[in-house]
Amino acid sequence: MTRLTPCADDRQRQALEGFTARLRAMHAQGLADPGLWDHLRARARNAKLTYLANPAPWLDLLAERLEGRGARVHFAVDAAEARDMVLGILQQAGARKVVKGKSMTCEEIALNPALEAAGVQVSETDLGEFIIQLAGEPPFHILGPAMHRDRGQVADLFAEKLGQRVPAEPEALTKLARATLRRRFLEADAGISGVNFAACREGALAIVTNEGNGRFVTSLPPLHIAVMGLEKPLPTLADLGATLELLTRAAIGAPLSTYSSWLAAPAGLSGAGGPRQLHLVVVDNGRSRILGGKFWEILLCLRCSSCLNFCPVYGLAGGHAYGSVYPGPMGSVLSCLLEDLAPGPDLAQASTLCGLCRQECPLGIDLPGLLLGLRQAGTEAAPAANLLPGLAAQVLSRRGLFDVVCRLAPAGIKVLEKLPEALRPPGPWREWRAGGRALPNAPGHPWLARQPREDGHD
Amino acid sequence: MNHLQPITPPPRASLFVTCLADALLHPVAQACRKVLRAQGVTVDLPPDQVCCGNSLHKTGQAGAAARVGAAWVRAFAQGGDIVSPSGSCVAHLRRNLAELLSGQPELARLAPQAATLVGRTYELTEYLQRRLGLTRLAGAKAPTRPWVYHPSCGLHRSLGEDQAPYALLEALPGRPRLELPRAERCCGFGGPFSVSHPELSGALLGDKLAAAAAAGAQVLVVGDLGCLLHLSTGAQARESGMQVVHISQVLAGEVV
Amino acid sequence: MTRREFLARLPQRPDLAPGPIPPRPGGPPPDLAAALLEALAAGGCGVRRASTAGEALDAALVLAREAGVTRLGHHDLGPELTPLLPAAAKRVGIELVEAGDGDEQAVALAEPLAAGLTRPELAVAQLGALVHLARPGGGRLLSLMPPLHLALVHAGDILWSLDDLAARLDAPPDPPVDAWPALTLISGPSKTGDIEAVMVRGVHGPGRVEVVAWGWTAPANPLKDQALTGLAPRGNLAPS
Repeated sequence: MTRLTPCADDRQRQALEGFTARLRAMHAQGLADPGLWDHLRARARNAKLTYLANPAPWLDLLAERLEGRGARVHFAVDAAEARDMVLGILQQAGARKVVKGKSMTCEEIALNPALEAAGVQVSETDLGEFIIQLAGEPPFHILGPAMHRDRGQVADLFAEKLGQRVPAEPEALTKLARATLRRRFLEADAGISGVNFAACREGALAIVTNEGNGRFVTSLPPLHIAVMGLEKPLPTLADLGATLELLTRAAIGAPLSTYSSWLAAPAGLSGAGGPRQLHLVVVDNGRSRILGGKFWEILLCLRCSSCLNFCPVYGLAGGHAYGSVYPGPMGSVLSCLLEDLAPGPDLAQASTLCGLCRQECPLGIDLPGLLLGLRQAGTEAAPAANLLPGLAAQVLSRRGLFDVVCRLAPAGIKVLEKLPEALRPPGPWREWRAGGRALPNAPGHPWLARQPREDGHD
Repeated sequence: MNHLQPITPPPRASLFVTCLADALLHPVAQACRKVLRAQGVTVDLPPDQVCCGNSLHKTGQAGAAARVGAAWVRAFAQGGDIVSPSGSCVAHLRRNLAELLSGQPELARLAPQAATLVGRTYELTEYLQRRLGLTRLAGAKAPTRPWVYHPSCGLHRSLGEDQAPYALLEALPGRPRLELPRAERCCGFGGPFSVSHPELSGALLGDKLAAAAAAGAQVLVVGDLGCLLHLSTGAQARESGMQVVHISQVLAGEVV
Repeated sequence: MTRREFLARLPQRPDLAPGPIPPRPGGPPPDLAAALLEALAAGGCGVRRASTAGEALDAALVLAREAGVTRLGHHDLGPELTPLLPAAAKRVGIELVEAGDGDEQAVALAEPLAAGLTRPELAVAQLGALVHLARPGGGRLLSLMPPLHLALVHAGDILWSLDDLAARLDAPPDPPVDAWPALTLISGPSKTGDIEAVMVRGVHGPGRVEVVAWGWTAPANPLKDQALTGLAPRGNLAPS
């Protein structure tokens, strides 16, 4: 397996540092009132635990409510079934032009390539997603998918793909994107979105954005398909409100996103302006298996990106290095557990377990604990790799053996230092030096060997 | 309470120096004993001690970590309070030891004894400030050159001891502490991470040394032992001139 | 997979137990309208206060005229405002275009407009949000499509918290939740930081939002047409 390394592109790494620093500051603002923070955390955690303790009846209720008002609810066991369902709904409606809101779940199930292969034109409408769609790249960060691209690069991209050259300034570029996407909103046959949370008792889906593209996607086209991981629902609308507030405070330090759409039915059916068809596709793709096991806590994740923004490893490596839809600490856990998401690098090892993620996570998810659990699962699955640790365990539990190793160490280190690089045996000493460190000075005896056992016997 | 009542018998503590200090970081072991004695603590050194099993546990080797943990229990079975200079080791013992032992059929019977021992195991600053109630320590003084403190993750977050180290450092006579920019950012050691991800580990090392230098420091005081090994050998390789020491050495008045 | 099959696969975790919830600090202040406007201003809206419906309407229309608007979209603004609208528009020389939700032509009518005037049904003061319910003749489209959104809020429609909103949506005499198909919460102008983290307003939704609240228990000298706090408007205004 490959390992995670620092992002080689200096400019991208600097952009990432600037971006995450801003978000860290906003997050700190969001947490500024400890009494409010404790209240919201407890409400959101309770809501999620109540749902996850027994999701089936809640999900059943959500489906009943929505279908009672003319929506349709579908259930997909894995990514392939989810893709087929979405495509089926589009084909049945004869929809060929789709506008899409930002959805990590849709990226997880690799929806876009499947739709495009079937001749459906898909337009991402979140500005950052629009940019990376044109560039053919994966997202770099959960909240800012295109934050690794500078204004000059975006201007070139727009000139090449949209056929229009505008000044390389964020305002002019945004104006061009707005005009382009406005046309697509008006022409679209269908809108596809994710779902931030759902309220089961009332039967409502919540989709939030700061740009407003979520509102267009869910209200202009005659057909709306919402794709939702099965861990997203909450018991009630009041729970949903509190959880939305917690998410937004953690993510950007504000009480609410600019826009929140709460959808309980196809609004067009009652002449209220909106789609005449509303479909919800509920996706499992490994979530039910996770819920039944020791890693269930990752299902509490609100996708706020706080762990990414504080993680020293993510801050150096950047989003593309993870080889997965979900980067950073939460991504390192989720990517190893969901179906079909085998990331390239060994993500469970790529952490110092410093605990900053757990500290800043609005729900206090024990991410380091989950990563450790994944490491354990990995060693249990590969017993052959246990020889060296077994040897280490012998040395570290026997005073006599430990003494011997300490006495041999200086000679061993001298030999290692004198050997030419090519002849040096593989071992942690190589990596130690590769990290820009000298080999430690070994005193040649353990400290304890030269101490009297107790005070008063010097 | 800032001094010991003369009629109370002086406290006793068993010093758990850790495998790292015993093998490579002798000045830390020395300083720990010195600072404890200076406060009137009688220190004994259980001779069979080696390691608590933390680094094996971090590689995911639960069985191996349990065996090492069992040896730790046997080594410290006699005696009272146990004090260690490593917050990450004490955090590991508190969080994981009993559970690890329970998970191995032949070691499970040690779990209750382990829980008892861990109940009286302390990290050094925690022991001095909370158990002994001391803030101004006999024999302690600040470094004479500009210095900063890196609040090691194992001590401040894993163990959750965010106050005692700062309280003890604030009370030092002499040059006050400089602020370390982005102090909460990990130094990049992370146990097995230091050799499984050398590029990332080295980059974080460089950043931490640079932050200390940017603050104008010539001495970087750290809270844990892995940080000490990693940052001091890093400073050496980079010929940065930054002196890296453990907090116990400062509290023992050993850093000039 | 069918619903039944899917649900049958979901495990139960009775070990996941909820815990105590510390109460939320702070409570509703006496003047909800002031709290709402302050929170909306923090979210980037221009805010103003008026004593009567007529004054609020005039204030909004003056803002539109100052922005160069000649054709203004509106929807069913309710019994307090609707009778006053034609005369008020004539006073400032603005042509009115009716484009309420559900109208077949609404999208086509709303698209070229430079401004939309709406009456949110509700508002949430604690977090600073306007609430538009999806209903025939509603104002959601007008709050989304034109680059300038003018909103008139009646003090009596202002709730304190999201909990209050959830409860209100559930309770008569307003339509119970089974009758509202959708709603939108709006807390400021559309914005993004997706390019180099530089904030730009008016990405898809309006780049400028102006809110006028009317009806309050006024002390001796009401702050007539005076902006409480408000950021300088930015965004794309194309006079029509």
